[in-house]
Amino acid sequence: MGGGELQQTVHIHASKRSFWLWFLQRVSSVGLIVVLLFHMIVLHYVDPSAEITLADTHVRLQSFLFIIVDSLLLGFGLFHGLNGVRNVAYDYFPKPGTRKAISSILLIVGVVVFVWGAFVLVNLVLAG
Amino acid sequence: MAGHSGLGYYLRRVLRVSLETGTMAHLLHRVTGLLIVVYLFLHIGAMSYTYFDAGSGFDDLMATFASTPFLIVDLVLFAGVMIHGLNGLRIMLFDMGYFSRRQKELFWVMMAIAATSVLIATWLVGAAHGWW
Ligand code: HEM
Repeated sequence: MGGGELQQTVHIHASKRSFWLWFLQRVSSVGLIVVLLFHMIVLHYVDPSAEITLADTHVRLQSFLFIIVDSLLLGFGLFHGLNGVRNVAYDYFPKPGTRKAISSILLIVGVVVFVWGAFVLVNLVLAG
Repeated sequence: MAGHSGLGYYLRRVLRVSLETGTMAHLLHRVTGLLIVVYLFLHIGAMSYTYFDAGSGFDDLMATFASTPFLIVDLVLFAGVMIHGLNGLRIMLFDMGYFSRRQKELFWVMMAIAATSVLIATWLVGAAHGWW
């Protein structure tokens, strides 16, 4: 790689879907920068010695802001992470049949874990 | 292109991979991304504890997570998130046409920021838990 040589990324999208997944990977990246920063700073940085308790978590989750941030964290994190796993898997499995199976499994895992995570969140908001 | 001699050339031949900054950045992004996915599932699993046990089980679990071995794992995770996040930002910047002639330099700037933030986090966590 010579100095100053231009290396511009060129994205060729085989389908509309691959464009949208690529685009949503970017949208979730930007989203994650915001909500993940918030999450880590508020829970761990403001007071690194604070021990997290169920009671505190319940109180925190009475605020609309935390409900929104936690929901976005769950949604963006799962989409971004699992779509990322799909990207990695596509590099190693070129066969369309295998790819389809991988995509389906990841989609099911994503939906199930999202619904499960939402249940847990609602449970934390309500019951504590 | 690196020369056809020296340690870098030897390693590339042995590992049959390119050790150029770009390849390394790509690999690092991939490894950290997958690491965080694993953590995300463990994290959702740990939070699920509250669903089954509304007693002190959750608080006991959180107290366990505040012990030194877990704190060290947390710091490794934090390093992974910083490396992945900052490198991800770099990828998006040059997707949009910024810094396309300075990708390598930007990579090292991002890694310097990541390293600094990990040092600060380690210092804060250590101070809060009596490591020094
Ligand atoms: C701090 C916010 C984050 C930013 C800015 C970010 C950015 C990015 C970007 C831009 C990509 C696409 C790279 C490409 O197309 O070449 C990516 C891939 C990926 N991300 Fe993230 N990410 C963030 C957080 C996360 C989190 C929380 C997870 C896990 C849940 C994650 C897991 C992954 C995985 C597995 C990949 C695929 C890696 C690959 O294709 O080699 N990322 N990330």
